[in-house]
Amino acid sequence: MTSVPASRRPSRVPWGVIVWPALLAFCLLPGVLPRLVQPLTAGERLTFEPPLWQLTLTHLGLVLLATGVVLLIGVPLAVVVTRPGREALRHLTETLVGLGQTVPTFAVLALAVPALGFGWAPTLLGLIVYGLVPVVSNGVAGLLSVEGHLLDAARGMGMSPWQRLQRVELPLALPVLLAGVRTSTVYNVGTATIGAALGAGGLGAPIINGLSQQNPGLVLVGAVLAALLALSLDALLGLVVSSPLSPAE
Amino acid sequence: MIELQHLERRYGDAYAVRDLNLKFPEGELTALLGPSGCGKTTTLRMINRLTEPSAGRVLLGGRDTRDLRPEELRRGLGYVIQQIGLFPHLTVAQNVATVPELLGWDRRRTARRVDDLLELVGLDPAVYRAKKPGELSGGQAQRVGVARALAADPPVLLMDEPFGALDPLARDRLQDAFKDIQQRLRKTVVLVTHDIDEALRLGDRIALMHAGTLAQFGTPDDLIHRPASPFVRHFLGEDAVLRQLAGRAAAEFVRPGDPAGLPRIADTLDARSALGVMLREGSDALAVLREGVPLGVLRWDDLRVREAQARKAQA
Repeated sequence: MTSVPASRRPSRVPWGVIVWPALLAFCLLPGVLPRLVQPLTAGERLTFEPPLWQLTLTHLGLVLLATGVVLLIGVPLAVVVTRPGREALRHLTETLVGLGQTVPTFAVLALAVPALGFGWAPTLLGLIVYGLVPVVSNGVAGLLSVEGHLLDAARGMGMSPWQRLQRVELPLALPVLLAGVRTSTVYNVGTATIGAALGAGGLGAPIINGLSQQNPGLVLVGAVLAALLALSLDALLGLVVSSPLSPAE
Repeated sequence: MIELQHLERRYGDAYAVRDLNLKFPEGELTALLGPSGCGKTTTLRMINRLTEPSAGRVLLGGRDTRDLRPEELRRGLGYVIQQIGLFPHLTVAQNVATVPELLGWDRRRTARRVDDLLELVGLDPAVYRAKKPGELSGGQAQRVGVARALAADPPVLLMDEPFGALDPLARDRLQDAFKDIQQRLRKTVVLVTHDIDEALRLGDRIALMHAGTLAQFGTPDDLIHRPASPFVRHFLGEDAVLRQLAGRAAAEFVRPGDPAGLPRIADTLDARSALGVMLREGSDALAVLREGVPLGVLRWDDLRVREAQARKAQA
């Protein structure tokens, strides 16, 4: 029953929150990246249309939109299947959601194109299917980890099922759930590069162009920016996840 | 205050509680005592409908509890459990404020009430208000648990083995603290326990349960001196009288007298230990001192005939 008092908890300065976005912004300054990769492009100065910052914003938009939809589907799903007496439904959901990660995203995208056409729609679908896994499984794990006696106390004091969820279960499940959201978002920054193959744009565009033109400089530009975007989002979400929620005893 | 009528709870073919009729007197602490599996916790949980009865009914101040919404009913009944169940993500103050918040009290009234209650249970509000449950010892945490149950000033307190998970020292201190609190507040308390000493120490009355039915209901004296069945006698044990003395201060039995030359004890000593001193010193009287000043004399006969006096006083 001992825990470290708040004042003595090691306060890690989240350098990543400053460093990665700053580095990303620096790389997006006009002309910086093309000059850096010049040795790889046989002296040719790369130009981008649309400009790199626009590709990055498109990419970010895709990822955030997917994360938003994942939250809208994943959190209620985790709540519904963790209610008492729904064990069978929970196992079914975990199996189905797990399937989303075992099937390669590229296959999901390829299958989605005939139904949804090219562009954002099939890309989003792929990102959502892929991103649901960590959110749902962490959400379920977080909600199930709330100890029975806490729920008994909450019920005994006269909380309704909704109040128990809102005041006890979700706050206690939040750290685990947010860790899942972080994983989901960061993975999807990488996954979203595939969207360029379907015409969704984003940072996959220079990578795919680079591959087809056998230009390693172009590939590197897309890869570096996608990596910096992933690191930035990871650092920012890390701020929320490691917020001073007390350790549950 | 609380009345159980033909209360019953079945699980399949098995009865957890069977045809239980019981009236918990207002303003008194009734210990629901019994071996594990006797149905005492099930009975408690049927009062606040955490478990629904299979048959029979519970009356609260004359009203059938089924006429109330379960949430509404429970907000009017304090509830304390063995595992304490403080919410780890909330501060001590927020935990205590749980029911007032559910009832929609305004902030200032709640804050005042929280401080009053922390004082009542012996925790300095300035020190403990902002602490998280993880920073408390078991004894401190259950003090907060009691404060939380009392927050909306419910007339009834339901306690399920509230001191069962504490170490013996913390348990003793909390039992004493709770006895004081109860003497001041006079709540109608139902306390589930399997600990005979606790029941004798805290209970104004004891309801002894056996296999889902009531074995005996009465004062501790009733159960010790007039057991209704061999089970009651056996469950309480041959040393039940000693156990009862252990829960009382020697000072309760003191009468005026000449303490000169008698072995001395402090007035805070419990009566069983005082008896032990008599046996050890070979004396049938002891001088009782309060902070070094003689208070009077404690005699062997007074410990022995207490029961007869109690009967006379009742008549």
